[in-house]
Amino acid sequence: MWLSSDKTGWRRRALVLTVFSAASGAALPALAACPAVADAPASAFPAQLEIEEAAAAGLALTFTENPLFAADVAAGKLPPVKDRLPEQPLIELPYETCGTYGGTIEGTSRSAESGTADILSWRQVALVQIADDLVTIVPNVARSWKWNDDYTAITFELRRGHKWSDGSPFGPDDVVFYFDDIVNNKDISPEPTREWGVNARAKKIDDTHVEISFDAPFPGLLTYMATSGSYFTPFAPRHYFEKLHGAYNANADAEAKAAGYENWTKRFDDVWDKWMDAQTLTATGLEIPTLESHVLELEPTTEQRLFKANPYYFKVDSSGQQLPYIDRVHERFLNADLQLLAILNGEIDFKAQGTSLQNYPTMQESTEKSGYEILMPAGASGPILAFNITHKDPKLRAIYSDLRFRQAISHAINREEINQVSYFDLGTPTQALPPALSFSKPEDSKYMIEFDLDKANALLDEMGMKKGADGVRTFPDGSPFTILWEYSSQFAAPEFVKLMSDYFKSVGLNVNTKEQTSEATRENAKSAISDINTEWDIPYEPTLIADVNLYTPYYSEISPLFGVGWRQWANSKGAEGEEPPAWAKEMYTLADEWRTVLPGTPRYAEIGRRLIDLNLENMTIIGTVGNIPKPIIVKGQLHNVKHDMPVVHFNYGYIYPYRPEQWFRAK
Amino acid sequence: MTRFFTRRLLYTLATLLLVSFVSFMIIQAAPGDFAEIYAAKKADSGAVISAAEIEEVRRELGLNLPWYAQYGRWLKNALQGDFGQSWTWRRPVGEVIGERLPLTLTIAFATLFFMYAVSVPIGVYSAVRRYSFGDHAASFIGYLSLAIPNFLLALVLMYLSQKHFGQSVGGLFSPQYSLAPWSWDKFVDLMQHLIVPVIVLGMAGTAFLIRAMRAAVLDELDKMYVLSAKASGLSPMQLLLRYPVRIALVPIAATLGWRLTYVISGAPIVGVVLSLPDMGPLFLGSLLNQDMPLAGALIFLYCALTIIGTFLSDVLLVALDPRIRLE
Amino acid sequence: MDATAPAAPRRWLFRKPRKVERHDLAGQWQLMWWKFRRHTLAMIGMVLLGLFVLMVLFAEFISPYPPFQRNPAYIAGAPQFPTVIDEHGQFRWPPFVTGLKPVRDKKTLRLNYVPDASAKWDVGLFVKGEPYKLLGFIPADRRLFGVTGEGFIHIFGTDFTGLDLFSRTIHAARASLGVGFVGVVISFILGAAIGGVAGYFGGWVDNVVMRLIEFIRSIPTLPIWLALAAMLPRDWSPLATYIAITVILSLLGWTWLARTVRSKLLATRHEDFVLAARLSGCSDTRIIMRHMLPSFMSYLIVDASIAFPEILLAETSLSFLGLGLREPVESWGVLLFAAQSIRSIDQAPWLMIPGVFVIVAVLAFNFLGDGLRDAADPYSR
Repeated sequence: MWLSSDKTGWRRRALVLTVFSAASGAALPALAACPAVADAPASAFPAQLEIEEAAAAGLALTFTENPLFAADVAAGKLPPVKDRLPEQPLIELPYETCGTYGGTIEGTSRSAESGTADILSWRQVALVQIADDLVTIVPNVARSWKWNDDYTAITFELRRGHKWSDGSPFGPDDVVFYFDDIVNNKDISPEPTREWGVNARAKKIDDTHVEISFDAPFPGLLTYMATSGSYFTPFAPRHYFEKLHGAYNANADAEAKAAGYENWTKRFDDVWDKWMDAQTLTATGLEIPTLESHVLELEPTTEQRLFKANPYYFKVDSSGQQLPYIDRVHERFLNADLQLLAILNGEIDFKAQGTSLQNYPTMQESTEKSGYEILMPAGASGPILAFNITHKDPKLRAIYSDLRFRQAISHAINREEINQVSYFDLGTPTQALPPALSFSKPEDSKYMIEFDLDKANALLDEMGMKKGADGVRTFPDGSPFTILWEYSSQFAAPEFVKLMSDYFKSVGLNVNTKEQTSEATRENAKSAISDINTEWDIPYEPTLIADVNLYTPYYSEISPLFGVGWRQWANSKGAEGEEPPAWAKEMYTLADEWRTVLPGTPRYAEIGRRLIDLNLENMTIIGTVGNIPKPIIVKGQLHNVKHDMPVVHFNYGYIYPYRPEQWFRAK
Repeated sequence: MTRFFTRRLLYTLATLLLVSFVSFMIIQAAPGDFAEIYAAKKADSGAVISAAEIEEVRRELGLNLPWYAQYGRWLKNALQGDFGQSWTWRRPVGEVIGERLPLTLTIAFATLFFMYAVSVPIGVYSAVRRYSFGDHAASFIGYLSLAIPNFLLALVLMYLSQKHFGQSVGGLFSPQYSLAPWSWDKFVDLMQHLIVPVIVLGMAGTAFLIRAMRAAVLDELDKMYVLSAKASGLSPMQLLLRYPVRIALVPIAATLGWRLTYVISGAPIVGVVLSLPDMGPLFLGSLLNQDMPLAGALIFLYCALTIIGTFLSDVLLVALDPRIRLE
Repeated sequence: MDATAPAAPRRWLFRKPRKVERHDLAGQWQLMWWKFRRHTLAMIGMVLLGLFVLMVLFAEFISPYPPFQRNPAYIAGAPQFPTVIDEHGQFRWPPFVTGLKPVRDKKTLRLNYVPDASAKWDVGLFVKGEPYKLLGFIPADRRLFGVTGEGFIHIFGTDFTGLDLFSRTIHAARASLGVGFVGVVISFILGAAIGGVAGYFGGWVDNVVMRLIEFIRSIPTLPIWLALAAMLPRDWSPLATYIAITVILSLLGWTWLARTVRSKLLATRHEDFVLAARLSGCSDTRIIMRHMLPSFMSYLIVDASIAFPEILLAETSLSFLGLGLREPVESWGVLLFAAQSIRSIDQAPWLMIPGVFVIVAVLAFNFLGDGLRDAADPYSR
């Protein structure tokens, strides 16, 4: 669809500062001012163009900017837009149409640390991005890349003239600094990182090229960077962090002491955070430059955070307007109930993380009144639970690490009922399994999910957990047995816990439930003192390509299910942690190999298959109901929102694949 | 008077010291190893924290010192306004609380104002029109307000105001005003948001004050001077306002500090239910997350506010009513 | 107090000696009862309390279902009302509730239960239900009411997992009133002991105790309760938590009683009857226990009746915030904890019914307390 004339009228509001024509030859056929996704000109990657492609397609680009910056430009505080954009900006095709500047989007999270990934995903950038088909890797901060033959080194081409949000140049040095002086600096990162490949390091090739290499092949690196790794970018503003770094600033220690820290590493630790959203938790976030679409504008408080459009953002729309269109992103910290009330009241423009399907009826009834829409893409795979096989308490550990116990639990769960009671019958009863894997069999998801109390009881009897006169089972030695289930409503809805405890009790297992905060739950999980850990997701395949360890113990980095010690053992090659059983060792070996094989090859499928079998045979994680849709709230005034998103999930960076930088508000 | 004042002041200071000790003990008594929790919070997931590192954390936090030395350390820092670093907010505790304190006080004083503004006229009315329908209605509502748990009322009012008045709830400002500079509209917005918390917080206290005011006025009305004033032809309204009400007000006004104690004590739960940006949600969150530096400072602050309230009450009482014997 | 009081003796001089009335001979407790009986609100309070006691004793009998029995056919169902008028306006006996069948709303996904006039579920008294032990030891299976044939009855509705709210509310009275009762007993013992020591010894002991009381009074209760409750070890059983919470609540609640005991002891120390007892050679303990304490026992009961609702409300608040009691212990606060989400208020507002029980219980105690206070005050009319 070509842009109609009334829409060009919108652009007149923007201040035209400079006219830059990429296509100098007038011989090319004239292209309408703003091609959208549906009418994309030929390009190497879907829905986006590089400057050469735009020229080839005859797209006339006039770089214009948000009027928000006009005053600063006029006052000389900001350079004109053509000098702020890279020489090679990324041209993004809008889903609907080129937008108009202005407005604030209202968002909310529970607290500064709990569930802000959603709002981070509105402004996120990484070297590469996953396209909205959730398969194709497309350029983002990097313009292009080139692998070596054995996938042990990759060269990224960065954009010439790309700048940090403070105007300083961004380039290969920032990548090299990240590897040399942060992840490979023993003072700051005592443990070697594995996320970017084994012993990953970076080398500057020239002003726009940087090479990242590692000891073992890692063909999944790009997928990782584009999906679950997008929260941590492998570059850091060198010019800012050098000042805090002992290797660059001889006075770093003295300055850190003056600021109240013990030494420079402590200070560095405090300011730098691998989680991009954590860098904006405090006032230092005002100083740390970023490449994201919005930068912190005011000092964050315990109530809110405010972000403002980044004047140096590197993307333009297909008419040459610098993105983002939205002036400000406002995030209020509200508890779950107030979030719901705010949504019902029409105060929230967009919300993906933490919206509960249970609230669907309530939310649906206010859609018309408050002018929002509920999208229902696939979300997380559905609740799973894991007994803590590596519990610190030896007696509990003996029970939970008994395979029969876990199988008994799987048979004691009435999955149909959970689906009815908690998920409006929208889900599917299933065993714990990553959704839609290319190498799984249909029967995998049905493994041991029959609701069969006799079988469950028989297994528990066999373990020697005898029932007392009150029908309650004891430890085999006769002492009272109780499962202590501390759950956070973020990971397990109270009804879910109630139903599950009922099922446990129906086979004679005593359970004591207690609600606590997500933070406390995570801490307990990390210290291996929780009995049951619950999770919402088993990753989708692209995420597993990047990091199949999300399907081996401990399953989740932020909220481990069990096996923290095992993972330490595996990571440290046996030096620390505790030795895992043979099946877990096999998983870790396979996982290491998986990282080195090319997706789609027979070996890839073979390893994947074996990992499924090992997980099922050992009943590591117990599935309940899967394929649960995720309600997402979008206010009607928000445009360029992709309405048919297939999946919205943490592992894909929530909304990041659907390009929120091109959202705009209709007046 | 000066002697009385100094004695009360000294006593208040001693109480504050005691409270600081209690706050400290509460932090200390929290379950779990302080250092291990701290280390777990500091460690990026996946990183191995060795025993040596935990030991270092322990030394850093002074956890290997005897308790009195730890207390001394804590108190010394606290006196300089340094309550340590909040683990959940990753900022100095003083700063985090500083953001919330003004609103906590705003709500508290608005509630006090509401309580007195409502209870004094109703109390006087009830006393003058004793056993009238209005008196009975007031005492019935009074009974009810003392019996309704304030969180329940908060919940219901919050829902009703959202559902039926489209009033944005939670916090003290609608989103469009939360960042705006002060203006008349913003002030109105604030007032609208204050209605629910003030009613909820002030309800029980108002009921109590109405009763007290009614009883005090009744006591005065029975006195001979009222009869004699009536006999000498003073208009009833003039008489009422000039003498009995004025005298009855003295003890009621003097309990202001105790009312403050009451409001502060009830504030956390209302703050949590309504998600007010006051200290309530911060406090509950710190307890649930075992963010002990923050929790300890907040306990201390809550106590300090009420102790200061009591002190003001005592002084006010003596200042307003010279008949009270100075011990 | 009484404006005409000073004139009374003179009037008496000119009056004939009057007839000996019943109340001249009645004892202190008898007098109090007579007076109490005239206090309508207090009598209402007492009747309500009687009902609560019955509820506590016979919870199993009164509730139609065991508190943890889920009804999968009625999830988040609204309260059902028995009726004797059918859909044609005809009288029908026995009473019945109209059958319900689940229909899911296509748009909102809400599961609605629509009346199915063809199905009428008969309701009866003393119907056979799940077996239980009455008062903990008498095996029984009759329940006060229930459906006699097929179907179900949930007069307070059900929660999101299908638990019968009425049965749970009745059972929850045990924990809620239990905390109040045990809490008051502990406060009573603490208050009487500490106040007794202060009042009897006087001097610096009295001074220390009074300062302590003032200190406790000047600190805000709820934050301290919350902090103490949050300190309980995470792996304590619900029962241990229950006891600990009760103790925590009474730790700050004894000051009123202690103050009353102390001031009354000080006041009666120089009364004639105490002097008489001392002159006749009674020991200190005997004087306190046999003579002084009974003389102001009524005041202590008043204080206790005032402390009760405070502890009840405190428990409810703590549980509501998730720091108090927790399942499987059921108290009204625990039930309200589950009712606090906006989703509950919107989709199942009946989950707030336990709140009404809290209000009624507190009102009953306040009424009772007022009645007792009036009855115990010899100078009031």
